Amino acid sequence: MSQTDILLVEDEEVIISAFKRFLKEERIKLDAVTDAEEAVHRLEKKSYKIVISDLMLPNFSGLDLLKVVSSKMSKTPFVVISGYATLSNAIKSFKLGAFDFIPKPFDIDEILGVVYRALAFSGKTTKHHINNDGNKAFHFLGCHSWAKKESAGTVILGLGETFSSIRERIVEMEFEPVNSEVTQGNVFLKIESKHERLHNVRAPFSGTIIEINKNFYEKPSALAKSNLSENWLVRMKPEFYEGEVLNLS
Amino acid sequence: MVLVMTNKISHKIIFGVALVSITVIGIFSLQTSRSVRTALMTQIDDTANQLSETIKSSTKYDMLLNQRKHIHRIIDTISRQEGIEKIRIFNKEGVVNYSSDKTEIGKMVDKKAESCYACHAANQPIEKLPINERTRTFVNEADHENFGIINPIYNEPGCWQADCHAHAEARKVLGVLDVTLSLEEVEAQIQTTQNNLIILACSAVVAISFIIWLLMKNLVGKPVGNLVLATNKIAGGDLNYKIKLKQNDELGQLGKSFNDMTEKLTKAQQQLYQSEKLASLGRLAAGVAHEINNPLTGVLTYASFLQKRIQEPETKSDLDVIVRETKRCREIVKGLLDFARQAPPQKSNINLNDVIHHSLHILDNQLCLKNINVKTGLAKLPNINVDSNQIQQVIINLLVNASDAIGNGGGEIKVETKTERNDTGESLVMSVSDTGCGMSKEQQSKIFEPFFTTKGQKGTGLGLAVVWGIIDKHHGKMDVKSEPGKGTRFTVTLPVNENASLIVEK
Repeated sequence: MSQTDILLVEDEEVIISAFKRFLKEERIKLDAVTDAEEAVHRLEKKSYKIVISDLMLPNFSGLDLLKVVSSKMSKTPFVVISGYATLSNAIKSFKLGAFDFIPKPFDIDEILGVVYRALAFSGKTTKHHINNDGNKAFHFLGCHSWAKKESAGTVILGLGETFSSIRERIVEMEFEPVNSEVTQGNVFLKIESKHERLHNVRAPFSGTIIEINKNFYEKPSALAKSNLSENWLVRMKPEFYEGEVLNLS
Repeated sequence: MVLVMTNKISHKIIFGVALVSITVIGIFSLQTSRSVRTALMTQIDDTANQLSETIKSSTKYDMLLNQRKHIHRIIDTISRQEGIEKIRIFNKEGVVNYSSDKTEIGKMVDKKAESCYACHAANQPIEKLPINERTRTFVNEADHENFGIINPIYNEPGCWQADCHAHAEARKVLGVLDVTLSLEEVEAQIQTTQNNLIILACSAVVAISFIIWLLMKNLVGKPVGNLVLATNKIAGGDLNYKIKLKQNDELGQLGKSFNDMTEKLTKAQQQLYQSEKLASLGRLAAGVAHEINNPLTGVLTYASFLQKRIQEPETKSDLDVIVRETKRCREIVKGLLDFARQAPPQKSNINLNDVIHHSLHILDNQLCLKNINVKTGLAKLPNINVDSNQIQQVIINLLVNASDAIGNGGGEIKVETKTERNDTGESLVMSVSDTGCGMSKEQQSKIFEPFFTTKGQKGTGLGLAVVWGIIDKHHGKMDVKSEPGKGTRFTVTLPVNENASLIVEK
């Protein structure tokens, strides 16, 4: 079976043409379809490294397609792009196994950031299940970010496996400041990696940020040498731990 | 219409009162004329008895001497007195011996006649007659009422021992003196009394009706007319119409509560209008935002793509502008969507004062830098079930607005809480006041509308619209008081019960 890098499922012509235009420069091959049914046919015929899909599609939705892809092709990262980017859509997508959730409109740095991470991740088995060896203290927002409850009632947040490919290339990390409020599914950390690529990290819990791990705040390159799932970045006081834990895997 | 209605009520009352007064006065008059009649009759009775005895005793001597001429004269003289209809004496056999009516003398009276009836009702005449049975009233031929009294003349030793020996000793009753008095005067008196009473009754009814009509017109008719006018005005949509009732009675109270009602109605209508406006704007915003996000994606990806590739500085800076402004569009759309998608509140049991402390803590540095002095006056509050995130958003928004209004010159922000109890239950009231620049009336009327901002380019105009939406979803109310140059005071009222009952339903 021949392999193409990306299957783009998008009903908006201008976005397809934009993808074609900038991916050509990156020498990344792309197939584009305009609805989810056609995407399923394509996926049956051909192998793709990653799938990028809109949520609002004619006939059946991007979330339905996500269900199909994550059950049949669990090693194919599925990136959701949506113009109707509600937090609940984001959380739902991650729970169904989405690789990342990118709200429209995005710029080239954001989309290339996630495309390269997803391509690097393609073919790998998600690792959080291994870490989650009966330790109920860990909760995951997909493979995107994790949270661990501490005995004091606080939680620590860290990067998920989907960021492992960039940990050596981090240029800058921009945290939401201490004392600020973060909502589940909202961005609490912006990472810039080499080539000006941008990555937004979404929080698995709502709460108030009470501490930022100085080791990484001051020296992001330190992340390169550590295991992502063992190093926390932010400590927060969760607001609705009991309720929100149900949204996580 | 007003006139007909008030007339109807007063007519009914006047009719009812007239009926009652006529009945009461009628019964009273009847009773009065009866007792007048009884009193007069008693008086007549006494007079007649006395007269009868006087005639009897004054004729007695002449009887004994059998001086018939004298007797005739006495009877004639007495009978000429006013009110005496007739005086006659007849013997045991019923032959009229003496009478003021000369035509009767020598004639027989019928034993069945009213003067005889008292004793001769039974076939055997009775000889002793009780005094009260001696009198009678009857109507004579001229249709006048008359009063008759009979006085039996008993046989006495002087009668049978007299020189004339006219009567045998064995006889008990020798004859009967029958005096008839005219009751015309009594009748006239009773008639006068009755006439007076009727005149009194009629004038009383007229007077009472007039007073009732006057009272009804002034105390009921006019205020009811005002109320009807007000109802019509309000039904016609003029919710600002106020009833002017000075009186302190029930209708005055009604007017007052009517004014209260319209005031509350106006507020409720405004709230509803605002809610509906926000909801439909929200739907519109969501639709527009979603549609706009796709073309924006095209613009942003192409522009940022070109921005990377172009080296020529002038074009690159042009592209920088496009990318920057497209990103600004993105932020505006994001704000719109956040506004449109205010998630249903996730309620938890919290204390409002804690949320205030927390919010102040977050803004501590910012306020300190601007030289703003924060004062709190927080009363002890019961816990309330609200979405603490959203309520915090409200408080922070109000605090940021207050600090923006104060500017860099320094000033004071006052945060106060208290509980309030009204007819709908207990509420928590929080107010945030500042010593900032204040707002005009016109600005105040628009601040909760989306996209209205007093901050120029710095504001999105969504802050207070979102705040309003949050408070509305918590069944609360928001109010603003402001004076240009003096400052602004925002008041948030959150009902305790409604927010408590929602958690029970969970």
